[in-house]
Amino acid sequence: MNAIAFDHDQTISPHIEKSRVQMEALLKDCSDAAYLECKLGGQVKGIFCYFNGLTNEERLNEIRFEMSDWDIGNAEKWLESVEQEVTSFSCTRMESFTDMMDQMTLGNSILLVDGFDFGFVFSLSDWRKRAIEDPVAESVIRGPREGFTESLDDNMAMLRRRIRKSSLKMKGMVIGDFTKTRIVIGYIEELAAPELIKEIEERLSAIKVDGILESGNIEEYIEDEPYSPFPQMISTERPDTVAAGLLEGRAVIFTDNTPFALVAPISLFSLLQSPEDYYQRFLISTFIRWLRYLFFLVALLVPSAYVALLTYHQEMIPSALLLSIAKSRESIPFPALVEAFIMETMFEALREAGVRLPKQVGAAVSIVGALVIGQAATSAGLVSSPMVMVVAITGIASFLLPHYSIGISIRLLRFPIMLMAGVLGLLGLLLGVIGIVIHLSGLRSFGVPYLSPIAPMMVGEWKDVVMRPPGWVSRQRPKFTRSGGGFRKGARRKNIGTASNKE
Amino acid sequence: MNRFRTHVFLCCLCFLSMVQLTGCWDRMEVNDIAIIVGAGIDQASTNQVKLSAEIYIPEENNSESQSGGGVTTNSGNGKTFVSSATGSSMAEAMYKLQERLSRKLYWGHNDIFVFGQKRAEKGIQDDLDFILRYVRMRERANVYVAEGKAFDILGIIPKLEPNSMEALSELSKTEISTTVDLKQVVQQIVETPDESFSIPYINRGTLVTDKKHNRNPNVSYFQGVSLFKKTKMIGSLNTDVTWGYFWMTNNIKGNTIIALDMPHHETIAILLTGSKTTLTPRITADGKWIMKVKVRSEGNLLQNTSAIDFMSPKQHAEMVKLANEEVKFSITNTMRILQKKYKVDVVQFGDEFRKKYPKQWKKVKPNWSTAFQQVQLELDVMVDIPRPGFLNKSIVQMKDVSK
Repeated sequence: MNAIAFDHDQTISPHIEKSRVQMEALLKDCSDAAYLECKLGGQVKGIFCYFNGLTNEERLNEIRFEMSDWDIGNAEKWLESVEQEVTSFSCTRMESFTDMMDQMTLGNSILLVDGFDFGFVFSLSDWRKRAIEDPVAESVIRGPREGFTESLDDNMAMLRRRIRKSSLKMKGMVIGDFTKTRIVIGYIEELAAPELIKEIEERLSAIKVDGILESGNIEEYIEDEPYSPFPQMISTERPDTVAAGLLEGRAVIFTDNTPFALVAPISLFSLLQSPEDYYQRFLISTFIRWLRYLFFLVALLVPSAYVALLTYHQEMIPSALLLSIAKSRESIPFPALVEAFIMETMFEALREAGVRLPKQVGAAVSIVGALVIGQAATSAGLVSSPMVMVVAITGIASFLLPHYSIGISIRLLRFPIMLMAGVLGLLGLLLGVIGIVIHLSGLRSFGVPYLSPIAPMMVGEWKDVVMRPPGWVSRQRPKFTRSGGGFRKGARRKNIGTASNKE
Repeated sequence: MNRFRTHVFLCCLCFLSMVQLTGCWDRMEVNDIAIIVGAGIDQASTNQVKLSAEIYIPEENNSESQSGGGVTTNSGNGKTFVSSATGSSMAEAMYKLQERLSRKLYWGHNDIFVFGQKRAEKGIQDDLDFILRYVRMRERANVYVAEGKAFDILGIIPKLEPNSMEALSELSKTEISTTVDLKQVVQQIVETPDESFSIPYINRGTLVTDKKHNRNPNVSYFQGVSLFKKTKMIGSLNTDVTWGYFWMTNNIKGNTIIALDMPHHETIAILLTGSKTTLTPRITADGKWIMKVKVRSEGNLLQNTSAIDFMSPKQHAEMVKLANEEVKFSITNTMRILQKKYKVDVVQFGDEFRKKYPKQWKKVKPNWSTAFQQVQLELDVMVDIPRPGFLNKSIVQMKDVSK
């Protein structure tokens, strides 16, 4: 009995009763499977099979009633006429139970008809989906307000709506023995380097795993350096970020059932850019970019610099400041390093608690948090008030980074650097920075150096790093694209003022 | 998998070894240092030096509220105390000073060195060697000479500033005073043939008069500059003479007020907005050494009780002339004292001559102090007064207009 149940490859019997038994054996203990009998043209017996909640049952019933009203004529020719009539709906033929199961799990409905040794698949998948909402993790002031959803098809549609050209390719594949997750690699044929797409495909097809639940699962398998704290792909839920990436010759990897798509290859600087940079005026965006670079360093280095200065280099602190620090540190029993560790750990704990906790409890955490990192901590004599200040600045700085993934790696790296600063002073701090720079210089994202265009130096591309150039200035494409850094067509600004005056 | 294990192992090893290293030799918490905010050097007995240090007491603010009716010895927000020790040299004195303190003396932030007058007269060369050699000391610290004892200057509790360091270095920034730091002193010692230099001369307010500050006369005052030759103090210039010294050394700052010497107790005062002095040396054919002092300054009329009408071009020119005369007098007076009384070149004339006439300078250099006395001054002073202030005419004159 069991042997029959799991033998997916057995052929479909032309006898409807027999194939129904086969089907039921296959879907034994699947309480969400549904069977719906019908009579085609009032004579031929058929069974619709589908999963509850995945199929549009309304539409299915319409089809069913329409089918029973068919006139299938005389008995000899009914086989042909049934096939002809059925295929007039948008449906495909499936020869094996395996294929049929795949279709059923996608939400499609199967029709088995008496006398046919194959089944018909109706694309009626329609399940409850989350509506398209604001991208929560990456909000902007100006820019599109729609974010990806859990539905792969919707996500692809959102991208297709932005790049309306046949050269936007969407290559599909399925990964995961049990989850059979649909993965789609999207790219623009004219822009993306063919080697890049080939590489991504090879890495993806090498994944052998039981299940893929989120794009993070994929990321782990295909990134260049799994031991690095730095993300080597951007995960985004914004269609415009993905479209912008594709227009720069990057590729996107969509995963079904998650709103987060992966964009690769990237460099460190793309992690420090927000899509909104390109929507605001370029002067303002340039300023904000500089602010972000500054706070990138602040988030990484300020606690360590504070520890180093206070333990080894008191000369470097302005006299008046040192006196007030000395005053506030007087009753603190810990060395600066320990103090910094306590506070930073506390801050990370609070942040994590704030993210994880249900909303109802969240308010409590923020109240307690304000007390812990604040006046109470200082008056309890655990930490000095300058340290509270440092932690607060660092916390804000790490939230200034537009991508959560880079923010969290910076927060992680802060701790080893802090330890080194506490052991060796500014020397240790610099050693830590040098270590990070060495690591970053060797890091690659799908073959593209992580620090490009700074290292290796590509001066032409610096425009998009040191500032946010206006569109009509940034005519060159990044070097890793298909053309190897070709020029964008027509990226020029018409001389508006003088042209209209001449008329 | 193997690679992963090695990675993890190596990382752990690195961090563990770091924790072992935390007892680093030069780790110094802020809680373990006694921050010095002022140092004084006095002559104790014949061959003894007394080193005093003003040390900051880090005490939290909230303790003040607790001690409600108790006696608070501090003033303002900074509490300091002065400790001193005597030794045969600075190094020994510091060692002895350290013995009395539970915390490590921290010189990194000390910005002032005050020499007692006796010590200055005896020569400060040995002390300078120590101060400049010791790595923790600041090369840019300001230097002062105190009338009487440096210890007493440090003992003053300033009312407006948190500590002596702030009080003195802020005093140096005002227009009536000047800043001289160790670096400048060393430069002058190296560059001038007589090792001559000048250092601000300060004293305790009580020594001047008890009336200047009604309730608390105990403030340090700027009292001119002290003159050094061969690193020994040979005398000092009072504030009036120092003014001429400032004119010559381009040290006149904005906000300086010139009060003109007028007959009949009238007043004309000018508030300077800027001034520049340039020195141009010249050696005439018959071997006279002449220094041309060119002063260009500008100021606004601050007070005018005289009959001179600012708005009349003729009388305005007269006013300018009076101002010029005032400055000229001040310069010549100072020069006379420097040349005749102290015979010391602290106005860097020698340097100017060296730059322009290196050959002649070489000959004169060994006995520059005699040659300096023969240097003649050529004054070119121009004090412009372009603005009259809010009043065009004096009040008395306005009365005449309305008639």
